[in-house]
Amino acid sequence: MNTSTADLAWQHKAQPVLNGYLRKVGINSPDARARWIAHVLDALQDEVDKYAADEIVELAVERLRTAIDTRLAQLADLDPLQDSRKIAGMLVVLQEEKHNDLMHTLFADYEGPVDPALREQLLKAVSADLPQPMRADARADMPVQAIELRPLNPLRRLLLRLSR
Amino acid sequence: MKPETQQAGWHQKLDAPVYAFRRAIYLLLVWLTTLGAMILLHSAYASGGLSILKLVLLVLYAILILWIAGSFWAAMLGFWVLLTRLDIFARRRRAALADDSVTLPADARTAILMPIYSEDPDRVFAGVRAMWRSLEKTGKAATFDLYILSDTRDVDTWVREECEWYRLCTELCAHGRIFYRNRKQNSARKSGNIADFVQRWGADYRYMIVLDADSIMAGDTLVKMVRLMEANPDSALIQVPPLPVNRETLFARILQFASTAYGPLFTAGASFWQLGDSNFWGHNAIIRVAPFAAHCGLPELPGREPFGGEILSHDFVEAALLRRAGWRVWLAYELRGSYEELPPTLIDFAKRDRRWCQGNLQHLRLIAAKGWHPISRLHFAMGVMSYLSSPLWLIFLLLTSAEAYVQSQDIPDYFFGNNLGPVWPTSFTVELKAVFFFTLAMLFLPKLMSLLLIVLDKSQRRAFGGFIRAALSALLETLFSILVAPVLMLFQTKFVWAILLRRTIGWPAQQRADHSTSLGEAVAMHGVQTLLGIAAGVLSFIYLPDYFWWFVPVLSGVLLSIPLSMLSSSVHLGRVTRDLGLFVTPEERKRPEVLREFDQAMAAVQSKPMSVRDALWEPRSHALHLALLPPDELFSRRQQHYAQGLMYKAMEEGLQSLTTAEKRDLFLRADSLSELHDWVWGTVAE
Repeated sequence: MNTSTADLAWQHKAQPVLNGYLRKVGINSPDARARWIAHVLDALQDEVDKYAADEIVELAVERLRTAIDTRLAQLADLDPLQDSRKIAGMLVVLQEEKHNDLMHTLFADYEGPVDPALREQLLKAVSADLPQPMRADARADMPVQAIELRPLNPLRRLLLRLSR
Repeated sequence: MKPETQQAGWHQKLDAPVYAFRRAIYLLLVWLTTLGAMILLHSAYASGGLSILKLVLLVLYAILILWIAGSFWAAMLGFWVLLTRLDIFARRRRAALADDSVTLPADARTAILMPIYSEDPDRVFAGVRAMWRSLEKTGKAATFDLYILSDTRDVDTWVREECEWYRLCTELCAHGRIFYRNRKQNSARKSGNIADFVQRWGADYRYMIVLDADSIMAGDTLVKMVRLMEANPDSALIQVPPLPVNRETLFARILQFASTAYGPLFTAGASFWQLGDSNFWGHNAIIRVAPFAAHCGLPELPGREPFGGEILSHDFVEAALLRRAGWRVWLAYELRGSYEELPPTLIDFAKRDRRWCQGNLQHLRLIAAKGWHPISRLHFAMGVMSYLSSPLWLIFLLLTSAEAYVQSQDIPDYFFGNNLGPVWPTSFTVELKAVFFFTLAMLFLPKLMSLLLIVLDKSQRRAFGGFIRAALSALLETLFSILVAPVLMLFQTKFVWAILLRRTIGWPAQQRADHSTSLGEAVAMHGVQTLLGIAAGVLSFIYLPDYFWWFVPVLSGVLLSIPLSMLSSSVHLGRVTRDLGLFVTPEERKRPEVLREFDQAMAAVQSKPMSVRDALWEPRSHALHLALLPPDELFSRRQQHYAQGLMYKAMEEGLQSLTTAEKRDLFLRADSLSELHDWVWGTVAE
């Protein structure tokens, strides 16, 4: 991590926020969190001059969130953009307490090759609880019905019929 | 699409004469009763010739007594049906359900639909949990799926629904079985919500069981409904009458008692003459999906609201459309395990009536439409009359007072013509009293007959708390209904008047949970009614002193409407009466299993609900919301700027600065929402 004096201010500001975010996501290991934070802050270092001071923490969170999604996509062999809904769903499942250990293994680092056995374990773990809000469409036609309105008054009905 | 030809047994070939016979009996009884009452009233009015006022009164009375006689004879026939258990159609249904071990065919896939609109998510999901558990216990849940079809617009409630849905699915291991969808555009209200389901997923299911947000149905009943449909291939819809449960205010408890004690008489009676041309009540019914899709796409009525536009009370129209296409619609009055909840207070009850009134009056335009089955026309007419009868009664009361005043101004002339002695005017008090008591008897006799049925059945008697408590409850309920009837008459007259003036109501969310009516609310709703009551009381006392006491029952309800409304909304009084064994229903005395499940689920509700803030802040809730959003659309540049504008507004002025619609637009966009999520976290550092 680049820790020159001028940069310390924004990094000190961002660090606890990112740490808190990772903790909320369920990455409990301090070492793992430190690695993720360093990764994000290092990547931001080169761009820091392009942003206003009050935006930099927000940007760091965005980068962290994207990094988590990307890593999960890599782990599950998904496309981070195309499969963003599914990735979000997996993240929901993984944040359940019963998956703490798996979460620790999966997010020990932000990069690195993926063990196929781990991928299988991940897919198996999330398969039962993955949010499936909707079934695949099975469309049925529902044509709008015609209702031919007629006046209540039978005399008027008769007159109308005669006038035709 | 036409119903399959019946593989008719010999008994089914006899159905047509049974239909004709039962309807002939019913209609004959109704018309004879009306005629009798009319002759009685006519003879009372005959003195001095028929004035225009008297003629109008006679016509009004004819309409009203026809309406009352229809209801009265339905109840009496219902009494006979329940007493003798000789209804062959109910027997056939019982026979079809006799063998409990029958498994449902794998292709009889059934979707249970729960359409919701800004309801309390805790209540909704407690109901779903109870039903699903109950269904699983039958061991026949494999062919069922459940859909929560949300039309909720408020983002707080939407987010809570999502979280509750996910929690429920995880807890019940029902991912892929219980689905949740928040509709993007909630066009055509509930009917549009159901139509959206049919169009998107309908081809996957043979049946759908339509519920309301406050419906609860026992698993066993759900299975029985499917079995009945399987046994009746020409039936498109079977309605199971719901019993009201769960409310604890005095008002709701009295109504729960009345519906549970007297309701079966009316439903059995309705089924007696309506048979396979029955009606759809909008929920707690099973529907065959294919004919529903083929025949129930609702058109908009020409003209503007309230009489034109979207069809509001869609259920009647859907039943009529199914009948028009040759399908049968049944009311399975003997099935139990079907529940709903009532509005907790008189004011909430009136508010619900306001919506129903608009929907039913819209049917005025449909009665004469081409192609309906005659019984469908009758359903429409009965729906209209259930609200139009109130203003008609009010007019009748006012004109009766006017007639009484005219009569009181007549100075009798004892010596006229060539008569040597005085000619005493004929008194028709006896006939008038007879008409009055005849009408009252038709209103109150069904209650007495219901009580008799309860008394005759030992288990029922015990379930209602014993004979004395049941009788006392019926007596108190009758007094209460006498007081409330004129108040509802004034409310409904006001609603009809407002609708005739083309004032519409939107689609307000309903207040379903128990709560007390405040003095301010009671005065606002009943203030004018009370003033009208005072004015009517004073005027009748001054100008019609002989008739004043006849008006007292009507006047007292109106005069007491404020305290009546407030006291009856009390949960405390509701519980006190329950402890005294009054207004007790079998479902209160011995909770059915599905209701016990529901109670447990409600008791486990967490005190701190989710909010929009959580969805923005909590990574898990945020991810869940994103996971449930529909796939991203391509947005125009203008739409993107609009979303960004909303996002910056939320950042600078807070979420509360956005309207409900704006908040919703923001929460429909994954990118804007994620940006806001990052921003919320970014502000933590400041």
